[in-house]
Amino acid sequence: MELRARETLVPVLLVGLLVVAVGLLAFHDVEQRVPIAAGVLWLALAFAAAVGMARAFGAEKDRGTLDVLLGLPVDRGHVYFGKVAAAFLLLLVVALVTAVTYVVVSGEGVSGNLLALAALLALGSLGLAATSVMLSLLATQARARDALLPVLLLPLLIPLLLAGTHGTEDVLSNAPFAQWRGELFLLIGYDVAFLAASWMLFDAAVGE
Amino acid sequence: MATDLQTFALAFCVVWLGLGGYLLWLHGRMRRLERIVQAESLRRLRP
Amino acid sequence: MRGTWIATLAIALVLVDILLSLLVAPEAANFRAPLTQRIFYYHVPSAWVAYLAFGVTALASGLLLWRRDHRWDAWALASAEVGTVFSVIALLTGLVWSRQEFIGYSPFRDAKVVSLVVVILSYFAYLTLRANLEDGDQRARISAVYGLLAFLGVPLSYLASRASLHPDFTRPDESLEAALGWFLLASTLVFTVLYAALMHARLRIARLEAALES
Repeated sequence: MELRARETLVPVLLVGLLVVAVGLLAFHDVEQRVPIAAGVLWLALAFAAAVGMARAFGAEKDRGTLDVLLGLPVDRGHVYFGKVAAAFLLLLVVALVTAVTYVVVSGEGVSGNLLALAALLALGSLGLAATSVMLSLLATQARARDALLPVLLLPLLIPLLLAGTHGTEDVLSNAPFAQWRGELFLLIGYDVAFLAASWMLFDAAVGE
Repeated sequence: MATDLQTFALAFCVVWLGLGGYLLWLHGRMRRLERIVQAESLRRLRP
Repeated sequence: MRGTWIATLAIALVLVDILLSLLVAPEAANFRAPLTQRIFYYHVPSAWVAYLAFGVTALASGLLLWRRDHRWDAWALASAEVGTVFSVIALLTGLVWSRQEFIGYSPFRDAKVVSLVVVILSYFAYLTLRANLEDGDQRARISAVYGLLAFLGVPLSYLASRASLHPDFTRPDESLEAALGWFLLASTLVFTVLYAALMHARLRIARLEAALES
């Protein structure tokens, strides 16, 4: 699993960096920097998840290793959580690299509550990992799997991206906790809800 | 800015033409399927 | 349309509803666009049916997986398709009405709009997923899983919008007169009957298609 993660890392990082590049170019003369930064960061994560996960499960199905994995005398839920953990770490790396690259290239100073930012990004990455792994499992069993995953993912990501971007804007502007607390709780709720639901539905998703 | 009447008329059409159109489409599909099913069952009667 | 009692009832009720909403319902006071306000009688019930239909799809999906009974698949599919029609209508009418009524309206900052958009995107994704699955049993199973996950996303979307967006779309007088409320309720009931009638037809189609597939 670690080997596969490393294979996926490079293209996924490239996607993230691409989003940063486009974001900086397109919005270079916009006044409001904080919303731009927030948007770029979360878009990079979302694209990375969509691109990365499509490849992760797809490769496994082709190689037939998926059946081997499921055949193991291990609770199937563990297979799901294992994949989510790997995806989560991957996305954390993307978040870090994207954030650092953005700051360095844009030349804007870093401001705001960085600890809170890290918390939001971590929760968001976890949510992204949970949903994209699950949906990629569904998509690989269908035709046009690469095109299908983003379509399936989008409606589920809207709450996460809304809370993530707006929370990040608040946090980067040093807003008081009361202002971004709603977004934080929503991300926590989102993660719990989708991790639990996906775990319960994993057997059904995989089939007999 | 469109007038009150124009806006209402537009919205009214969206609702009822939309629902009506969908109804017609369902009707068409049902008739087509029933014809196919009938043809199939007749086909099976003849050896 | 086959002469079923529910179809006849639905059509009759709809005609009555149109008459009521156009002629009988009192003009709303304090609205900038009083005639357009009558769209409310179609918009609110449409939105209600959109969410109801999504609930039915989710429920059918859950029953399909829990009971391992694929007969529920027809319900899930039918409700998704019918629900899509109502949700698109609800969104369009809502946008039309809001632009008329509120000054400086931005749909992107309206939690109800975001929520409805998520419903529409979910329906679209659900139907696209089904279109890409061929084996009937697999299609039923996988789309049921997605149906349940997507349903989970709807309240989360609404809450996320509430937490993040702070719209301030108000009219001079917020309240809706009681008399209008009754018409709204009546209209909602009519639309629910209409939903039932459309479901009846769509279920029949689904069963015919399933019979042909086997």
